[in-house]
This record gives sequence, C-alpha cells and structure tokens, in this order.
Amino acid sequence: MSNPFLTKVFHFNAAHQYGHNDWSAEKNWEVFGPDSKVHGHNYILEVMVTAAVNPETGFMVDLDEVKGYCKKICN
Amino acid sequence: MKLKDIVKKYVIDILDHSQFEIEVDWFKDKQPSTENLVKFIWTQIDQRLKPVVLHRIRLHETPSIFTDYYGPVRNEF
Repeated sequence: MSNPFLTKVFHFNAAHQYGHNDWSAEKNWEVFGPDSKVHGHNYILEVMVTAAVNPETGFMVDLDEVKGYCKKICN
Repeated sequence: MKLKDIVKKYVIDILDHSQFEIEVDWFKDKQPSTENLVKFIWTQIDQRLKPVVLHRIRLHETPSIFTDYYGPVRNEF
C-alpha cells in the first residue's frame, strides 16, 4: 500500500538580479530584459513529503512531535 | 526536528529578505532562477528529513509561474 503525500506551505520574500558581470549592460538587457535589474518576488514554497503513517498517532513518523508522544506512551 | 523547523532553519532563514545570488554561496556562478532555487532548496532539506522522504519541491515565483522539482535522480536528461 502506498503512503500518503503531505504538503506544507511556506512564504518568503527575496530579491534577485539576472546577468553576468563580465557582460556589458546592453548584452545583459538583450538576454535577460527587465530581469537584468534588481527586483523582488513574494515566493510561495510547497514542500511535499511522504512517509509511513504511525498507527497510534495517525501522523507520518517524525513529521511532528511524534518522538515526544512515543516517549510518553512507551515509558 | 520538525519539518517546519528544518525548512525554516535551512531555507526560509537563509532566503527571506535576501538578494540570494549575492548572499548565498551556492548561487555563485549560477543564475538566480526559480529552476536553480528548487535545486538549492532540495539540497538544503532532503537528507535532514529522514526517515520522511522528500517527494517534491514546488516554488511559485508569481501567481502564474511555478517550478516543480523531484530531486536529482529523476528527470535529469
């Protein structure tokens, strides 16, 4: 039986600039256009993972505080 | 360590409010594209998630563009 897939979403903002230092500004503009200027994005990151589900918690092993939970019920 | 904490420490804290092609060594000699960002993010968290398996990184750069990456083994031509 295959394991489920879980996705967690994160956000970050960052700036970047395309181009090569050893190219002229004109060549960088020709290749990269407006992206050759510093600009920013509001990135959205989705991290999708898969693992076996712990039958006692219903969660994927080690994804959350499963270690603490196991310690508690195992002792 | 939780998934949330791993991604925060090894990805978000490094990239957020940065100009990453200048500030992050991994981008030296690479263009700061979403294609390269997903590869960087994969290398930052893949091994640290064990035994959970990282399946896919999806990064939205704008509302109309996102890039998917399934790791270095698959889809390399």
